[in-house]
Amino acid sequence: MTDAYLDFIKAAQPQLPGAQLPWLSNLRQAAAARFAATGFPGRKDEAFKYADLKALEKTPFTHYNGSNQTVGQLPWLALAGPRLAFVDGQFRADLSGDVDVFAKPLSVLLINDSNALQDHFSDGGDASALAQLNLALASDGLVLRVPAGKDAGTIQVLNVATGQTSRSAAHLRHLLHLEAGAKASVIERSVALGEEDYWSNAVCDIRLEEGAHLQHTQWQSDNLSAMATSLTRVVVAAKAAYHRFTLSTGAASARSEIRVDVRGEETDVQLAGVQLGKARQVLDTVTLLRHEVGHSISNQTYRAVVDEKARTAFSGKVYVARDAQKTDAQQSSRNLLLARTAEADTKPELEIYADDVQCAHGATVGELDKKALFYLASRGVNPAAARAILVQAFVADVIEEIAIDAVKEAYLEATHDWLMEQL
Amino acid sequence: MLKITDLHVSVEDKEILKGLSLEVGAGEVHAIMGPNGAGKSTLGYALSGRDGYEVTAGSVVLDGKDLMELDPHERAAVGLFLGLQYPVEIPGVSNMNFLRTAMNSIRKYKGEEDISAGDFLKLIRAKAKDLGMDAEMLKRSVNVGFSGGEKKRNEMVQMAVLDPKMMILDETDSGLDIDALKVVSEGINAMRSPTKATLLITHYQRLLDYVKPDFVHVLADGRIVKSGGPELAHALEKEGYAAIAA
Repeated sequence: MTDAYLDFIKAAQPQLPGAQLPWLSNLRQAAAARFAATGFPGRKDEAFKYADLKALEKTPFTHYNGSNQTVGQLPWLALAGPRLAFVDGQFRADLSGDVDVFAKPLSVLLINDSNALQDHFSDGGDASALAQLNLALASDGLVLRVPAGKDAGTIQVLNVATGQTSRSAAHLRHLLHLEAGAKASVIERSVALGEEDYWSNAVCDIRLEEGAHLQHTQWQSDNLSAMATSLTRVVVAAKAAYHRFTLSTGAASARSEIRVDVRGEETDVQLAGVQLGKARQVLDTVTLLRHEVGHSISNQTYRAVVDEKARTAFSGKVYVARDAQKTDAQQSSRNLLLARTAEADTKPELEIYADDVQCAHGATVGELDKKALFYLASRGVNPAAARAILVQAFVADVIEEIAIDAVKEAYLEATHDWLMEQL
Repeated sequence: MLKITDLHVSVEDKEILKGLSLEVGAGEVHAIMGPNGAGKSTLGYALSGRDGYEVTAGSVVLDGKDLMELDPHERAAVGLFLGLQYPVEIPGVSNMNFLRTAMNSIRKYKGEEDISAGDFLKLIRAKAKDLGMDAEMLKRSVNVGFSGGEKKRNEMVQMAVLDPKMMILDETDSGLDIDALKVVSEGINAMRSPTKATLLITHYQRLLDYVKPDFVHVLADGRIVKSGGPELAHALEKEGYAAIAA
């Protein structure tokens, strides 16, 4: 099956942005060769244990839609700032808002400003097939570069799949680089217009220099036929803050991996997420937080609500190096099963070599509290409303933490809509 | 108002209520007293329709409606209120949200419009004030971190807001100090009206010093074994259940 992908890469490469750049062609070919050597990860690969990527192997996702599909109104949030729309993996100026000095599409930069992007295309030591394929096929993405001390405001990114032809693929590659003391908020959403299956395979590289602050929210609302995989790599320097929230409601099978390297003291990393699974969805979140340096805090707060025959998973690893004293790393994964046929897996993992740290994890899997359901009923609340109020309460405290009100409200509403449909 | 006839209730296949009959008229306050294990709490739960309390025989009619035909939330909607011995904590759900959802659920059942946010706020604030509950507590999660007395006071606020016609209060006095007991009693007394009725389920006579019952019944081994006026409660207190129920 890898052959089909390799043929596709060969055919696609001349048309990819930056095809004229020798350094980029070399990197893409090397990535294709590594993919050919490894193939797709299987369930024996620990980091992919709970993911379901069989569909990628069964029939290849090797269809490229043209770049001029007609697209109607897009679901932007009413927030000021640059808006970038990518449709089936291609930047669409006609659908985007103002693109400003800091936030630009990768495809445009590869024509004008390509040398500065060489680092971004190094594979970062990542050997997974998904990242290799992204490198080989990356067609576009957001490049956000914020100079020292500047505030780039709020940037919205929509990753739109037309979903009108089966087996199409979009490999977006984002770069977010905030120099010392810079600030930005990035609001991402993936969404589909049609019902056909497609594969969205994104890589996002984030570099936060000293004292930089990035607020990053993401709503994976792909259609229920889609494969949605993403890898986010974050490097955090001293006093920098990375606050991330992911709402995951879409895709037949989704896998979101986030790796954070803490490389300076007094950093603040907050990773949070809510996964809402129904039908036969498989929603998998994998995090790896590496505290290389001490005196930093990290918090991971993940919730999953699983109904019908869906399966969610959270694997969260915290690594604290020998010298990373005074690290405060907390992790919480709570999971709520709404049906006996649903499944939630949670796997916290602490690997700690320093002796003066505060690290804790808590993981629970449970059902709705029967006593609370009766209490609500005894006060006149009908069963559907009682379930809704308890599930909403289960996820709301995590969503309430989102600093941008418009995003918080959109996510609370999405959760409410999901519940109304399920209960 | 409430007519219970030959009620048999089993919990996990063990018969707890063995033919209980009781009639509570409009405007009346009845007290059911009995030793531990007599089936007092089972009666409250069975009347409100809790899962696991299986009615094997008998009937319960509230204002002409057969309660056994209704789900728990429907029983509340037709005017039944059960004050719990151990009110449940619900993290993440504010008292406000809880009560507003309850009220609108009941209104929906009756085919009425939702109460407006403004009217609801006025109502709940007034009732909380009457019962001495701090308005800040209305924003807090239902019963989370509340003391025993605060939980029972919260039950009274819920009862006042939902305005039921048949109130069943299960050991509402248990675990309360004298001040909390007075608050709860005032809450119950404030609800006394010729169109409502109250059934107090209690182990001790103490509550009955504050809420004067019209009738007192003794429950033993799943049946009412003796009925009388308020004086029966005093006799029980003095002589004990064993002597009276024998």
